[in-house]
Amino acid sequence: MTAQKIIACGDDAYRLIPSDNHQRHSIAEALRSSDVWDEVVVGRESVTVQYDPCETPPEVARTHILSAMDQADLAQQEIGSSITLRMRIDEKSAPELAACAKANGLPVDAFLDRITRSDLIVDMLGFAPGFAYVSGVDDTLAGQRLEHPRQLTHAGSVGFIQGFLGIYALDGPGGWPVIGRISERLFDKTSQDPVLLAPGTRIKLEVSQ
Amino acid sequence: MSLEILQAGPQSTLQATSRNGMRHIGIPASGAADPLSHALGARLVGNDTSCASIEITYGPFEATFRCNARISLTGAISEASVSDQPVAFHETLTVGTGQTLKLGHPTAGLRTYVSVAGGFEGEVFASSPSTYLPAHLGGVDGRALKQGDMLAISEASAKGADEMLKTPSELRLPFTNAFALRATPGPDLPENEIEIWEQNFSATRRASRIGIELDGNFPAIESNRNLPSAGIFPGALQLPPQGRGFLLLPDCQTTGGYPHILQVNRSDRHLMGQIRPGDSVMFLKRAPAEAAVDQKEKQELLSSWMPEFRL
Repeated sequence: MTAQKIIACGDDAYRLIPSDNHQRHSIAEALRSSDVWDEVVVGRESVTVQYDPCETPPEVARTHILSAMDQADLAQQEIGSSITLRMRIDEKSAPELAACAKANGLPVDAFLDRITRSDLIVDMLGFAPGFAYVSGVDDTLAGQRLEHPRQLTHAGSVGFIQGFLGIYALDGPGGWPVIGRISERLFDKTSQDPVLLAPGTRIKLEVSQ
Repeated sequence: MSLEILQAGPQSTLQATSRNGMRHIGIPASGAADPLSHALGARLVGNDTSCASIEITYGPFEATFRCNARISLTGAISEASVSDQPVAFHETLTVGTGQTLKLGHPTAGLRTYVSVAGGFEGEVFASSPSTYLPAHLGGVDGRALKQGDMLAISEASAKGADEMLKTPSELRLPFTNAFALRATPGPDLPENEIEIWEQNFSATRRASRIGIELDGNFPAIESNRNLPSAGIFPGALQLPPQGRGFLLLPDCQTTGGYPHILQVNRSDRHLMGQIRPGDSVMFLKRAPAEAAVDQKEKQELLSSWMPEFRL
């Protein structure tokens, strides 16, 4: 049993908090193989599911969660695809790069090296359509949100705070210092599958000048 | 076939069904803030709920038809006229080329739906033409309608093309300035909290399709630090640190880190779209099993008129 907790979140949702946080993505994958759920949302430490209690009574929904967790237990394999993204670091694309490196007492190259060598994985999406919280960033690098958020952060921008990168899929307001911009298209509104990055995706960053 | 907008009021957008199954990639539900009123409107003109209607917030609204059309008005009721002749809500209406539809301010409720046979043409994003303003997706260039817009109208299906319908009276919900919403405790409500179920909260001016701020006495939550971000859905009542509740509507973010103290039940979520600043809101406590019964009862009532509609 991997479950630490299953919590009701109102009349039509459950949140499960696995004891091993790394299992969120495989549990979410197992849950998605069932048609009981309207939504399966990975959070920082949880997976939250929404369902229709008229179709699936709450106690039945609960047993589906338990069996998905058993399935994830059995699976154990690494899930999620891997993707290489190219990041531009010219001044326009990376307005806070120099400041972030300096704050850590590092030359820009060394700062970026530590980031690109990190074991980067899309932890969850949220905040805005396609906005990816990427975890695994070398924890010895310090960084915090901007004092004054930007009205406009360009699509593809890579933000950095301690432990995380935040990748903006769309133009929009944003509060993370920006250390680069991804060249690949992260969001295609004409596609059935509009977002390039999904929870659990492993990322390899390649810096291009 | 089109409709020319002469006056769009504070906010009018194209809305249809919500976007489902995309919250894990950060894409919110959107769709009609009062999906029941939208569905009733669609029914009167023979549309599927995937067809977009105009969702008018508060009004006034004025538009001229550049074609003959069958339309309906549902949701918050205001004075309504076609070519200065009063027209009724909740029935199929016919309008001719050059005729102008005018709507005033509703006296209660906030959002009115104008549906047209065939539906208004919006940009389809992720299977829905519903507008999501914060990211400029769906609808008309992802924005609110404005004066001068010419909205294209899709070809109506032949089915029921000459039916003149009226919404059955038992399905017409009268809105007032007081809302009682059935709800279940959220995961972060302190145990033994009673007061929240006995109060009238007041909707503040901070009200949009993202959510509505509520003023009143909320319980003190021990840790007002941010909780780890987790999946969250419309109907959640969050309690940010400044101490006013924020009730989430269809354009809300997909994850959140504020304490989640109540969840408005699926049976009553459609009502949230009609709460306007100054309205009073109270929450009626239900256990999850009772909530399922409430939902089933309302669902059955609605199914007799709209077999496809799901709360």
